[in-house]
Amino acid sequence: MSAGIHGLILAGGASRRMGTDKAHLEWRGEGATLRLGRILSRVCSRVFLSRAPGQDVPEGWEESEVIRDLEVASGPLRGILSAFEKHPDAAWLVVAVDQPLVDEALLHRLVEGRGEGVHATCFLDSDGEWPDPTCALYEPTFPEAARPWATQGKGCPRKVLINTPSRVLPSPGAILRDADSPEERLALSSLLGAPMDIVLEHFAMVRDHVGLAREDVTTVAPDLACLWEETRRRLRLPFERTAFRPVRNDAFAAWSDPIRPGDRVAFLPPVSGG
Amino acid sequence: MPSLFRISSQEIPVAELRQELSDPSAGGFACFEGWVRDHHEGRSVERLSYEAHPVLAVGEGSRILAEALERFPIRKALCVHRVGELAIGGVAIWAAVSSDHRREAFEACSWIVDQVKHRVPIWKKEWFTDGTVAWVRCERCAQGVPHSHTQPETLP
Repeated sequence: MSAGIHGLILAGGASRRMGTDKAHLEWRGEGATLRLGRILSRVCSRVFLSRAPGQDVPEGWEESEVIRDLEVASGPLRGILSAFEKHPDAAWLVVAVDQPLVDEALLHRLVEGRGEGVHATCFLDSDGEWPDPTCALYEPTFPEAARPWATQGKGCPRKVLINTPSRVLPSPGAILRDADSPEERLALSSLLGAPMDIVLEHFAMVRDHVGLAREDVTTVAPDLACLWEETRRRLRLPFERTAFRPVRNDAFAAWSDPIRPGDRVAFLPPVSGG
Repeated sequence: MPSLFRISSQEIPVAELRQELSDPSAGGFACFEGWVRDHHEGRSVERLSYEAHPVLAVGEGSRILAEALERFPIRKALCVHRVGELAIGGVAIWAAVSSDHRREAFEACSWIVDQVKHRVPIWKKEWFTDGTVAWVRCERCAQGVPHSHTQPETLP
C-alpha cells in the first residue's frame, strides 16, 4: 500500500534575484502560496508551507502549517528533508512557490503516474532535459536515498533523482517553468494574464528621458517590479531600480505590490530638493 | 487650515509666513532659507528649477513636520518649497520653527531641512553657464553614504 500524500510548497528561499519574498507575490490576483495550497489540497490530505527560520507566515497560513527548515542539507533538499523529519511516513508532493503555471490537472497526472518501488516520481523539466525536482512526489524512502548528498551539504534534489531509482514522466512543457526574477515573472505573466490598461506618470530625469509626463500603457505586468522591468526595457531607461521608489495611485508602494486595471503608476528618481 | 508643508510656484512670502509661527509661549524663532547659489561642485550655475510630485511632496513634507512636532519640544513648524524656475539668489526652501527656548528651535529647524532634502519627492535641475543642464543626484547617493530614501534619519 502506498503512503498517504502530504503537500509541500517550497517557499523558504531568500528570493535574492526576485528582490522580494516570492511567498508574497500574487499571480492572477491570488497569493502564490494560497493558489498552490488550494490546488494541492485537491490531491493531498494536508498541505504545508516550507519556510526558513525567521521568515514570516504569509497571509492565510497558520504557524502550525509551516515547516521550518532544519539544519540538514541546503537549498530545496533542506525543505524536503525537513518535511520528512516532521512526517516521515507520508509521501510528499512538492511544488515550488515560483511555479505559477502548475495546475490541478498536472498534479493529478503526477499522482496517477506514481511509480512502484521508487524513491520519487517526477517530470522531465520544461526543456525535456533533466528530471525536475519541483512538482515531484517524494516517497518515504527518499530521505535515506538522499543521505549521501545531504551529508555533503548538497542542496539539489535533482542529483538524487538522477542517481537513485525514480520514475520520470515525460515533460509537460512550459507549465513547469519557474519565475526566479522580475524578468522571468514578466515572461510568465504574458502567458497567464489578460493585458491591463494603466497610466504611467514620469518625473524629473525620467520625464526628460521619455519626453512625456504621462502615457497610457497596456501591460501584463502583475506587480510594480515587473512593470519597472518592462518599462526599463521599453523606454531604454539608463537607471538602476535600487535608487527608485514605486508609487501607485499617489501613494508610496512596495515593488511587490500588485497592479490593477486603471492604476496610475510612477517610478520616482532619488530626490534632490532643498 | 493650510498644510504645514507647502509647495509653491510663486516667490515664497517670507514676511507673511513668519507671522504664522507666532505664539505667546514662544521665546524664540529659528528659520532657514535655502538660496540658489551661482556654483555647484566647481561649476558655474546660471539658474535652476524644481519639480515635485504634487500629492506625495505635500504628504511626505507634512509627515516630516508632524514628526518634528513629536520629536522636539517646539510650538510651531512650517516649511515651504519652491517649484518652477529660480534665478540666482532666489529662495528655494524656507523652514521655520518657534519654541520656548532657542536650542530646540535651531535643532528642529535643521532636522526638518535635512529630512525634506532626503525624503520629499522634489527634484532639482541645474542650468550651467556653459549651456549644459543636469538633474542633481541625491546628495547621499553621490557621497556613497549608506542611507534610506524612505526612513527618517537619526540625529547625529
